[in-house]
Amino acid sequence: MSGPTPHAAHDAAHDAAHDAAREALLFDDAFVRRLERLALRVRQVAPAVGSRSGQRRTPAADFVDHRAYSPGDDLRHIDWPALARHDAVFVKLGRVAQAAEVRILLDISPSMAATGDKWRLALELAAALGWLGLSRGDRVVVAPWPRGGAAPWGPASGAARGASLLAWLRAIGPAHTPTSPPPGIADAVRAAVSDAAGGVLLIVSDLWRVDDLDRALTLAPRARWDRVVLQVLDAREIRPVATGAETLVDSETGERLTLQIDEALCDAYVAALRTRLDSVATRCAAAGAAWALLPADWPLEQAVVPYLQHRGMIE
Amino acid sequence: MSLRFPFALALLGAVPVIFWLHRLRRRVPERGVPSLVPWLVLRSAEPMRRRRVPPSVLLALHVLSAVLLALAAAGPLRRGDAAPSGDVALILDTTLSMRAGERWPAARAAAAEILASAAGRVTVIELGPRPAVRVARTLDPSAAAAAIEGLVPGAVGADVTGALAQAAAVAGAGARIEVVTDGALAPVVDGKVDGRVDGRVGGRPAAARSSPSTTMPAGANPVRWHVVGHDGARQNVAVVGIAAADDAAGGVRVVARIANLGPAASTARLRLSVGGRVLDETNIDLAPDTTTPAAWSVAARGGVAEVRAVRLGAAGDLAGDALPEDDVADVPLASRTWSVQFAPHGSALRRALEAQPHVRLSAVGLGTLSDDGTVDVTVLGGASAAGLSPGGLPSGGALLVDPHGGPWLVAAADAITGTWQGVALHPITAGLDLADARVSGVRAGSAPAWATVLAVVGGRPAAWAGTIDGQRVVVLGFDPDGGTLAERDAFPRLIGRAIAWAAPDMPPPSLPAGAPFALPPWPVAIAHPDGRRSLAALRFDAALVPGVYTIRRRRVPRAGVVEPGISVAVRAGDPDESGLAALTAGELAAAFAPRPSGPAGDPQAVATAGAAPLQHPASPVQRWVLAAVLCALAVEAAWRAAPARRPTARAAGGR
Repeated sequence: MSGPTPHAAHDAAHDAAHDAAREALLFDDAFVRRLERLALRVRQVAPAVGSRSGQRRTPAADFVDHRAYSPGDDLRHIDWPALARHDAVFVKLGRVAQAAEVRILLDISPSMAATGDKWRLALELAAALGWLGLSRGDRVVVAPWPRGGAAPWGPASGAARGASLLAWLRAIGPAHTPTSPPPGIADAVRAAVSDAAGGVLLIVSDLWRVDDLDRALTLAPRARWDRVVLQVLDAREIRPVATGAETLVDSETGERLTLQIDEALCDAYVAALRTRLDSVATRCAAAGAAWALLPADWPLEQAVVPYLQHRGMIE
Repeated sequence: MSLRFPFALALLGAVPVIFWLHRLRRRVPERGVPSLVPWLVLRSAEPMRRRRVPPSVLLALHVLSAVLLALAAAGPLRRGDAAPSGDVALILDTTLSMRAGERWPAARAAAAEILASAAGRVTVIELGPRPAVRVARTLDPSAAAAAIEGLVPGAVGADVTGALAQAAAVAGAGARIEVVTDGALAPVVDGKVDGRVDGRVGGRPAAARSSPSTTMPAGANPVRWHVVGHDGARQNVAVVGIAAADDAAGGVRVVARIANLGPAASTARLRLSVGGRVLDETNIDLAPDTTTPAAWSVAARGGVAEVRAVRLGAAGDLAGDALPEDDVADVPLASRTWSVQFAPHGSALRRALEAQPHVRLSAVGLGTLSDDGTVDVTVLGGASAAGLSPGGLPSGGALLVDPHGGPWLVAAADAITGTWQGVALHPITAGLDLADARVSGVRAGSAPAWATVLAVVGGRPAAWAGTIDGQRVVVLGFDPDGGTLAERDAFPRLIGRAIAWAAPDMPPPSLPAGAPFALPPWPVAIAHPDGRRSLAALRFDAALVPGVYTIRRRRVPRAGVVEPGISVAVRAGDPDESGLAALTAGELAAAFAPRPSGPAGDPQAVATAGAAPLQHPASPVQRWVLAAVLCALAVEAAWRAAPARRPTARAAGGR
């Protein structure tokens, strides 16, 4: 009698992690109301009308400024008291409620589903950020990457689409089959930003195989896109545990590596990881993108959201 | 501490093999990780670490097992340890009966089998009338095999208990004693073959009738008996005794005892020859298990007579005898004589000396006593005897007559005359009719402490004998020319017996092969029947080949003087040794069991063990192999039963 193959065992664990994350993707009403009071920090908004106050002035009830009346203006917006005082006709101007283009690029590669916490946090992040956008009337698109057979969700706006987003996230699963070579993120970014002039691009990934991150960031120009890179890593990825001799199997490529994992090697691992994270942060900073490392064992509401607020990614 | 087999430490070479096998079979668990990217940079930094064999209880047990096995196979010995059980003392019967049929080849084959199974030191002891250690505690099987190859059966009598004691002493406690014999053992009592026949020979070996002369130490060594040739031929006719004596006609009377040692009646052809000339030849019928005397008168007094009795087969041929070696016996026809030097002392003593038939008498003066080893007895009397000290006596024996004083007696104040009264049963005076004889000139108040008083006169010693400084001395403490003692017919016999007793031991004219015989205290040269020559003194125990041995005094040759020499005929026939009926292994074990009985010496237990056919217990080597195999199986079972560390699905961050 033979036991399960490593791959079979790996797939079973993969599915279990996905199921656990999906079940956890339930926001209570209080958290939703708190989310609705938040908003993504976006510098660039789209011409579309939304609930986000834009920079453009328009005759409106909420006063921001005056301009001289021109024929055709709505008489309801004339500032009659100013006419009485200055003997000139002014029209009250207000901000145009606009919508932002929100693109959430969700890494669904096997490495994201290799651990339950990481996949759960990735889905929660996508859900929360998407909900923020929807509640503000932004055009939200959630694009899985690598795409595989999964289609992106959106574009959609309005809080009423939140349930649809959650349903989509519950349905989506990580890619099972290791791919070699892994798909680059640049193509995914290009596809995600191709239908918008600007907005906010959110990348949720563990960034293990993102050799083209620099190129991807250039595809979403700094001038038009706010780019936020959220790197989600499991606690054991940040600090492994000495377990003795083990053969490590890459969840994406199937490659194997046998190591004697002891404390010294763990220390070396941490040092190497720190170097790698510093490199990613430096590259993001150089590209004008925001980068944040999110340990997967952080709870979303109590740790992740406050942290993102602290970092100015959410306002 | 030492090692019996240091080369066995080479087994320690298995330790790195065990490490290699562990490394080869190391079951490294598998674990899925999101990505190997962060680990790949560490691969080059840990090359040696990856190849290391992880420590485990199983690895430790394997290494410990290998080390213990190697040490055990090497046989560590502490100083003073008893011999390990792998030691073997092989006692191989080389008595004459081993020549019968295929007994000797079978015995050698059994011995070779025992040697092959021996795991420790081997001691080889030749079982005969005087057991001899041929190889002691050797680890070289070829040396033991060579020693066995050099053994030749032919001796008469077997000191079994002596051999067992020797084996136990040489091989050490714990050594296994393996006795290979045909079971036809004639016991040796006090160093001599116990030849008692009790009117019946050949039925059962004397070992079954006689207790061992010595006992094995209790609880010493396990003894196994291997009886070979048990079903071989038993029909045997032998000349088991022969003697020659002067007869009244001036010739020699040759008497032989012919024994039929088989279970069936036989006819034998009996032939007497002297110097190769056949004097008589006839057929005689022999009842089973009986001896039949045969006698001839031979006119010649010199040379050697040969008596040959060959059992005739069913067709009347000579092929029906199982042991041809004991069919012939020789006996010298010449009488033995003693060389006596005599310092004149009275006429009665001279006459008695001159009347001795086997005495070569030479008169010497006190200052011309010969001390060159050619004189058997020196006869001195009167003051000349008194003037000699015990250390001043010539070699050989001494007969001192009427010494007036000196160290030979404690003189009394006066000499008395009285009647002879024998007081001790002694070979010199036994059976002599000297009662009431008048003896005069008795001077001794008491005899010296080293002597035995033979007769007294008036309560004072008149004759005494004893051994002082290795010399036999007979003292007649009276004047033979006075009184009536010298007039008795028994007086010359008294003198003759005194000379015979005082004379140094000489070998008998005929004796069985292997029987030791006494020699004079001076060196002698012995010519063997096969032409070899050897030197000996006091005792000779190498007369293993039947035939005539010639013994001559070894001294500086004198021109024109031919030393006559003494002939000793050695025969193979013996009432016990020629009987080929054999005891079983159980009977032998019971007969020679250690006394008192102990766990290792229980006669019944030993008999039971010995009664089994030639089956060896598992030798130490076999036990080690068995132990090694069992250990390997146990380790392999543990290896397989050890829970394999399966690849786990637990990922790097799994909870």
